[in-house]
Amino acid sequence: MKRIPALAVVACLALTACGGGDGGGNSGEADPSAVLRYTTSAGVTSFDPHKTVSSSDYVILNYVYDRLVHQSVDGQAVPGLAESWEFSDDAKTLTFKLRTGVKFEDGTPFDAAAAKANLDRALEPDSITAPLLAAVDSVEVVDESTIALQLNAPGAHLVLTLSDLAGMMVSPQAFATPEAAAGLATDSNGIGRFTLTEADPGSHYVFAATEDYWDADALKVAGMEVTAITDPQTNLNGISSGQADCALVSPAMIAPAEQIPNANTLARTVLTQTVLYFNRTKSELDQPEVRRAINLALDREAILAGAQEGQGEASTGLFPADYFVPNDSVADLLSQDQQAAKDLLAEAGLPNGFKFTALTLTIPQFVTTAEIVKAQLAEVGIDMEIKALPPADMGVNFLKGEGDAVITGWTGRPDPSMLFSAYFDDAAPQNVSHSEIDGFDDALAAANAVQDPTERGVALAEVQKLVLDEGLVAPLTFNAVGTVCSDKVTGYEPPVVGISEFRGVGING
Amino acid sequence: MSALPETPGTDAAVVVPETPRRRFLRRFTGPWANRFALLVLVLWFVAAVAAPWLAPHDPLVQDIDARRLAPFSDGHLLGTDTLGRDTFSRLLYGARVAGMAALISVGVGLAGGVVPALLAGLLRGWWDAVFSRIADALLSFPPLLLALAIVGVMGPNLTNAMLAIGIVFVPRFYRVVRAATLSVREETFIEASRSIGTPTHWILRKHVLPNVLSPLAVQISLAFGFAILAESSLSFLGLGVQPPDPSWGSMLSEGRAAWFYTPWPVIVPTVTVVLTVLACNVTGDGLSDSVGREKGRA
Amino acid sequence: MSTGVVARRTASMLGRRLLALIPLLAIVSLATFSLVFLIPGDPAHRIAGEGASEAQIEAVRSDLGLDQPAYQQFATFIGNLAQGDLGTSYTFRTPVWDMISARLPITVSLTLVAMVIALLIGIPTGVLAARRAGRWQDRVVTVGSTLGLATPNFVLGLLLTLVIGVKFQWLPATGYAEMSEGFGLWLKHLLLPGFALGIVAAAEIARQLRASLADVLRQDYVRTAVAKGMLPRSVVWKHGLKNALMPVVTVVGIQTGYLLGGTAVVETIFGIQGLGDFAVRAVMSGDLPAIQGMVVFAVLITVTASLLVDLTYGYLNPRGESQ
Repeated sequence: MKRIPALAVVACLALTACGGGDGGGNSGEADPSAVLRYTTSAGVTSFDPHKTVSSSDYVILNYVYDRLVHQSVDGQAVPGLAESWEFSDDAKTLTFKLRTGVKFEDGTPFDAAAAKANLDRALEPDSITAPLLAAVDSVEVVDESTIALQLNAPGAHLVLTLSDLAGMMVSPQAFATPEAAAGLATDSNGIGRFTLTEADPGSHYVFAATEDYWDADALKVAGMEVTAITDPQTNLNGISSGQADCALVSPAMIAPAEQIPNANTLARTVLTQTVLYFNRTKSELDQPEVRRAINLALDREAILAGAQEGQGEASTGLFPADYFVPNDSVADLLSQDQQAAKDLLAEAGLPNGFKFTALTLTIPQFVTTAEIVKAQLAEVGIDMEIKALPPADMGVNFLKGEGDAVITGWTGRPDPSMLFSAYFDDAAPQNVSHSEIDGFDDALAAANAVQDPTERGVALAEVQKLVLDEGLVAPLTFNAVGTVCSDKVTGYEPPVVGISEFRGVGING
Repeated sequence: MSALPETPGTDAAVVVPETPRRRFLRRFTGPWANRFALLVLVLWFVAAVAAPWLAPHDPLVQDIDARRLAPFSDGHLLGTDTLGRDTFSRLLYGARVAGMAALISVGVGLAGGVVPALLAGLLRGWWDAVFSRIADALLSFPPLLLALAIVGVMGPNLTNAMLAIGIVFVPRFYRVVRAATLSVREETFIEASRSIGTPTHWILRKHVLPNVLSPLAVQISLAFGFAILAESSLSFLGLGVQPPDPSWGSMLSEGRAAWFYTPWPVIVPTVTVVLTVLACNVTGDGLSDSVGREKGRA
Repeated sequence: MSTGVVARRTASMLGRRLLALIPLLAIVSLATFSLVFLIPGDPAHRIAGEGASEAQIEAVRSDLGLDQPAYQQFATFIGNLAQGDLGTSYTFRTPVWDMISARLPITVSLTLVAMVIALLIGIPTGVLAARRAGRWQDRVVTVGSTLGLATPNFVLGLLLTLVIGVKFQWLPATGYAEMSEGFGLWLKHLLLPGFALGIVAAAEIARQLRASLADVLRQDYVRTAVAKGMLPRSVVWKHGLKNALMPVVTVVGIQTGYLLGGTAVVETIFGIQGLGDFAVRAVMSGDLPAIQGMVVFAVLITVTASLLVDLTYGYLNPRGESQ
C-alpha cells in the first residue's frame, strides 16, 4: 500500500507578502475571547454542502463543516475528520481511518456509519458533488471508525476532492427526513470550529466557537462574524476605520489596501479565475465555431489591466501558467486574433455577428470585466448585453436558464479534475448545458489513473485541450486574491487555492 | 402647506400697472441666482440634445492605455475613467439620460395626475373623494422605495426607472392641480360663468388652466430636480442605466471604485449633479416667487 | 384651556385619523398586491426562471396561487398580511417577515438619528435666518440649505466615508452596532450615515422655519409683545417658534418618507444591513415577496410617522386646527 504523494507542485505559485513587513506573522498571545470580524463579497446560498447549487458556498461552509481531508495553505492534503487514508495495491479501494470521539453539533457521535451516510448522500444524483465522486462505486463500513470507498475508476483525485464540499460531514439526523433536510439550507449541523448562531441570509452570519474542538490549534477565537458586502471599497473602509479585522481584497483594491495603516495585505495569484462560461443550449452559442471565435476575440491582458489593475494573471488556459497542468497545447486557442475570430463567425454563418446576453455579478470587478469583454467582442461584430445580478442569485438564475452566458468567478479547487467534473460533465448540476463532449470521460479517467504529478499534468492537459477545442468556456483571468487584516490579527496565511479558512487565526488582546 | 398662517400682502405698493408677463419676467430675471440657474438649465438642454455632435469621443470606446487621465490631458477635456473612456463625452451622454429621465417621468406624472385633479377639483363629489384617497395612499409610499419596488418587479433598466419615478410624481401633481382648481372654482367669476351656461371645457381653458399653470410650473421644475436625484440614485445602485451606458449616477459609482487612483471620476459627476439639481430647485423657487400675488413658496 | 379638553380633542382627532387610515391601508395593500401584475409576461415563468420546464412553472403557479382569480389572490394576500405573513423570499428561502423584522431596528435607528440631526441643524439655522432676515446670516443659511437640497445623499455619503471615516478615522466608516453594545458605540456608527441621510431634511426644515418664523414675527401679537417690552429672544422662542414649528412638523412627516427611501443608498454606501439594503437586494433579484414586504413595512413606518405628526399638531395647536 502506498500513500498518494502530496501535490507539492500546487505550491509553486508566487506568494507575495505586501504591506506591513512580515505578512501577518505577528507573534503574541491571541485573545481567546476575541471575535474575528470578516467581510467578504458574497454570502451562502445554502448550508447544505451536498445539495447546494453553488460550489463557492465552500468559502463559508468550511467554518462549520470539517471534511474527511483538510488542505494546508499550499494546497496539500492533511488529516481532517479522517486521520489517515490509503489506496489498496490494486488502486480499487480507498480506505479512510476516521477520527474518534468527535460529535456533531446536535450531539450525534461521528462514526463510520455517519460518514457512509454522508458520502451516499453526496453521491445522490441531485447532489452538486456527485459528478466529482463519479469514480466511487460504493461506500462500505469496515468497522466503527473505518470506511472503504470501492472505486470503479482510478481515483488519484479523490483525496483532495474530499477536502471540499464532497467531504463535508453533516449530522445524519439533519437529513433523516425531507423536512429536516430542507432545514439544512438555512442552518448547519456538522462538526466544525464554529456553529452558526445567527444568520441574515445573504448578508450577515454570526458563528460561535465550538467547545473542545478536536484541533485546538486551529481555533484561537471565540467566534466569527461574517458580513457580505459587494462593494470592495466599503470592505476596505471597514478595515481602515476598525469595523472589521479582516476583509477580502479584490485585485483592483490590492494597491489601496496596502496603503491602510496598521494593517497587512497578503495577496497571491490563486486558482480562482474569472471566466465567460456559455450556456450551449441558448442563442448562437450552440456552435463550437462561435464559442471559439469568442475565445479568439478577447485580449486577456487588457482585461487584466482594466479590471484587476494588472494583479493576477491573464489566462493562457484553465490553470495559471506555472501550475503543473501545462497550457502549451491550448495557448493558440486563447490568444487574440480578431481576423480568425471573424472567419470563424463567417464559417458559422454569422458574418454580421450576433447578439447574446451575459449575466454577471454586481461586484465591480466583474462588471468592469464584462464591460471590457463587451467592447472587445463588439470589435468582431458580436453584441453582448450585460445583466448584472447580486451574488446571492446570479448563479441560481443562470442555472435556471436566464441569460446565454455568464461572466463569473470559478473558485479554486484543490484538484484540477474537480474543475473539469463540475462544469463539463453532463451529470454536473453546474454544467448549465447538461451535455458533455465526446471522449471527455475517458480522458479524465485516464488522467486520474496517473499518480506522478508531472505525468498527471500532461494527461490533464489533454482534457483541457478537449474542452477548449470546443470552446466550452472562455477563461479570462486568474485572480490575485488578497486579504487585508488589521495588525492585531495573527497567524493568517493566504492559501493557494484562493479560499481563506482562517484556521489558527487569532487576535491579539 | 395649508397649515401656514396667512401671509399679509407684501408688494402692495406697485404703482405702475404692469402686464403679468412683464412683471413675471422682471421678478424672475432679477436675482442673479435665477439667471445662473437658467444658464445651467440651458447648458443641460444643449448637452442633452446635441450630445452626439458635441462629444469629442464615443462615450463607450475604451482605451486601456489612456486610463484615468486627469482633466485637460491631451484630447480629454475632463480626463478619462478607469477604462480610458472620455469623461466629457460620458458626461454629455449622461446629460441626455438625465434629461430623458426628467422629461419622461414628469410626463408620466402629468399624464397620471392632472386629469384626475381637474375632475376632482371641478366636479367635487365622489370623484374628489376617490381620487384624493388614492393620492393619499400613493403619497404614503416613500418616494424612492416606491420607485425601487416598481423597478424591482418590472426589471432594472432605464425606461422602467423613469416610469417608476413618474408614478412617484402622480399624487404630487394631483395635489397641486386639485388645490389650484378648487381655489379657482371658488372664485365668483366661475360661478358666474357656470350660471350663464358656459361649457365646462371653456371654463377649463379660459379660467382654470391659466391659474393651474403657475403652481404646476413650480412643481415641475422641482420635479425635474427630484427626477435627476432619483435617476442618479437608481443608476448609482445599478438599477437604472445598465453598463456600459453612461449616466451621472453610474459614472459616480464607477468613479468610486477608482477613488484611490484618482478623484476626478467622482468629482466631475458630483459637481454636475449638484449644479443641475440646484438649478432646477432655484428655478422652481424663482418661479414661485415671481408668479401670482403671494410671495414665497411655503 | 384645560388639559382635559386638549386631551379629549387630541383623542377625537386621533380617532378620526385612525378611521381615515382604513381606506388608505386598503388602497396601499391593493397597490402592493398589484405589483405582481407589473411583472412583464407570465409572473410564474419569470419566478421559475427562463429555462424552467412547464411542470416547474405550473408548480410555482399553484404554489403562489397565481392560477386563482385575481380577487381570490388578493383576499389571500390580505389574509396573510393580517397574520403578519408576508410570504417567503424566493432568493433566501426565509420568511420575509423574519428578515425584515430583524433589520427593522437598524433602519429605524438610522432614520431617527438622521431626523434628530436634521432638527438639530435645521431649527437653529432656520431661527437664525429668520431673526437676521435679509442679512448675511440669512444669506448663508439660504445658500447652505439650497446646496443641501441639491446634494444627493449618496454623494455626501461617499465624501463622508472617504474623508471622515477613512482619511481621518474620526468616526466608523461602515457597519452598525446594536444599542445593547452601548449607546455611544451605536451612536458613533450612525453619525456619518445619519448626517448623509439627514442633510436634505435639515435644509428643508431650515427653509420652512425661516419662512414661517419670518411671517410669525411680522404678526401683530408678536409686535405687541415686543412693544410691551419683552426681549426679542424670548419673543422668538415663546410666541414665534411654537407657531412657526407647525410647518416644521409637516416637513418632518413628509421627510420621513424621503429618509426611508434614502436609506437604500446610504445603507449601501456605509455597509449597514438594514431595510434599505434589503430593499436593494430584493429589487436586484426581483424577489417579489421581499419587495412587497419591504413596501408594506415602509408604508407602515410613514403612516406611523404621520400619526405622530398629527399628535404633535394637537400639542402645538390645542385648538385642534390640524388642517
